[in-house]
Amino acid sequence: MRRRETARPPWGLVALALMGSIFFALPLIGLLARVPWSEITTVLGSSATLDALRLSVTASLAATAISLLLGVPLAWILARVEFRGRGVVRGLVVLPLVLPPVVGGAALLFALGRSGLVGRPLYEATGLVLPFSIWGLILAVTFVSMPFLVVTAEAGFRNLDRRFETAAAGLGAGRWTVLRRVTLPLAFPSLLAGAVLTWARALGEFGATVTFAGNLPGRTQTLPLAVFVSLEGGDPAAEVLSLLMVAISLLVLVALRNRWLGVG
Amino acid sequence: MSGLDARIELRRPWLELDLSIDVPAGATAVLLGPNGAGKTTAVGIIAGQMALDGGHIRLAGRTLDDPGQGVFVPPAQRNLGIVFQDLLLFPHLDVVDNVAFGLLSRGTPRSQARERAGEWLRRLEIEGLAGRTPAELSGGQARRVALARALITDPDLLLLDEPASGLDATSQVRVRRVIASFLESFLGPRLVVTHDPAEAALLGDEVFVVEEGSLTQRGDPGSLRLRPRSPYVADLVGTNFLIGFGEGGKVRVEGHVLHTAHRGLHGPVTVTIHPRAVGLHLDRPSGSARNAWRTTVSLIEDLGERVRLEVGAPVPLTAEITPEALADLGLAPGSPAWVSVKATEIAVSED
Repeated sequence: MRRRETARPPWGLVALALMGSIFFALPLIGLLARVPWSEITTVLGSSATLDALRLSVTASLAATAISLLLGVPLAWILARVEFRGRGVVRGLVVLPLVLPPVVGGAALLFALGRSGLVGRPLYEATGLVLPFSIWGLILAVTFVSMPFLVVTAEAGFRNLDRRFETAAAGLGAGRWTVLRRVTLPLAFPSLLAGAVLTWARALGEFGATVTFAGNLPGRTQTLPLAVFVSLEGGDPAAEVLSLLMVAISLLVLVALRNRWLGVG
Repeated sequence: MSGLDARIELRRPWLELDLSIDVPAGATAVLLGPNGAGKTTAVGIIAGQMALDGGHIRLAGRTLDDPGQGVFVPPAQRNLGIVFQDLLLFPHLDVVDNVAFGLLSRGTPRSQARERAGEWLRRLEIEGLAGRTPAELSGGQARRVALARALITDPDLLLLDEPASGLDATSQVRVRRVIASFLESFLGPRLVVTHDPAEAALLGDEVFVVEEGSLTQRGDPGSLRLRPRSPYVADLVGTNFLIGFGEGGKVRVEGHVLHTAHRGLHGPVTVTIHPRAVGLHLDRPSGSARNAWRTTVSLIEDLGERVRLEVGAPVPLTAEITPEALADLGLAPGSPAWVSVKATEIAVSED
């Protein structure tokens, strides 16, 4: 009999883990089985698809950029500065993670809609209407996805060995230099992970988008919305668009597998 | 004055510090003390990570911290060269950028900073490591890089925190030699913080012993060895330090009577016996030693050229002999042995 160095895992555990894996694999297989391969080029080449793709890419990248711009400082403050109400601020940041996106979209509407708390004076002053515009789309997507960045980045700042910052200061680096040349580079893996999570969440956003920005083809209809509409109408484009999103997600996973997932 | 003049007073719930350290330019002072004595805090105060509650820090004619005058210079503007405990080389930068860090932080253009870093690497004979990351360095190499990083900005003070800790014994000896030679070439005041008396003896012109937040002794390494003023210092430098009761020419230590060369002792005394003055024998010694008693070897420590043995009751002592003598005697932990100490080797000071 062969000698074993590692004990055999309990079979009950294996069975459940197997069921879990199948549960993840099944929908993908189902999707692949339904894709009308002959119509793929037609659907992908249609202007509706290209519009949705363009909007999805624009909105998700814009949301990631805004999240980095505002979220990294916010995460740094939450991690490093003790102030009254820090818990409240952190709660506010995390809220969109647990809030149903539709409610988030509705709340955005109440605040920034044309007759909303801030939206009305904004409209009266500038004539700018956020809902049902690309700006509204970006806003809704950012609202839902930015918490991923803040939470991940804050954990990154907290876990970093602060003695490196002390060392940098001791070598003559001012606070800004320490941040730029030591803190941010050391926190880079967390920032990258946060950015990817944020982007992925932004790409798939549906509820807040449809509530706040609507579902206007060519203006606010992103890929997830296009998939939903096609499904409703029995349009085979649904499967193709779904496949497109799977492909984009896989592409990103593969590109980042070494840096972030730790798989070779 | 171009040296360091530090009068450190700190009163915090977890630690009280009260010590003065002055180091002239061109001299090396060692802050020696057990873990938890406040050495690291003292370093933090000099580096500006913590503000004084009282006293002052003056360096190269500049006041860095003085609560009385309301002066506090932030860490980045103190112009110190620090080799940190655990080195803290930046893991995301290669060796050249680590060394160039201080210059870049002061606004030196990148190409110029990297060029200067290259010069320092050559000076420390590690130019071949330029492109490596800290993770790819050995302990000794990493220390050289840290030393170059500290020296490149032409600091007013060179501060080394536990420079050889975490190395194996052989590397420690080598690294200390490198450090000693670079301390020599640095013209400003140098301060080495360590818990290792061997390091203190090798590197220090003057040793400041800190225990529980205050200075218990200062002096050159030789004077510490000959006249330790606390059990800690005695233990550190290996000297036997016993507390006893003087009676005429004798001292009673833990119920055992030691004959000394002193006269008219009376009352509590401290006794120091150098480990080299403690003789070890297999049988009762018949020579001139007035003190001899039977005991048991409890511990044998190999120091290379010497072997240090601890013996147990009735009077616990440390003895130092050569490895050859140990081999001749054939002693091992648990072996019975006779101890002898000449009366003239027993130093007594009355409290």
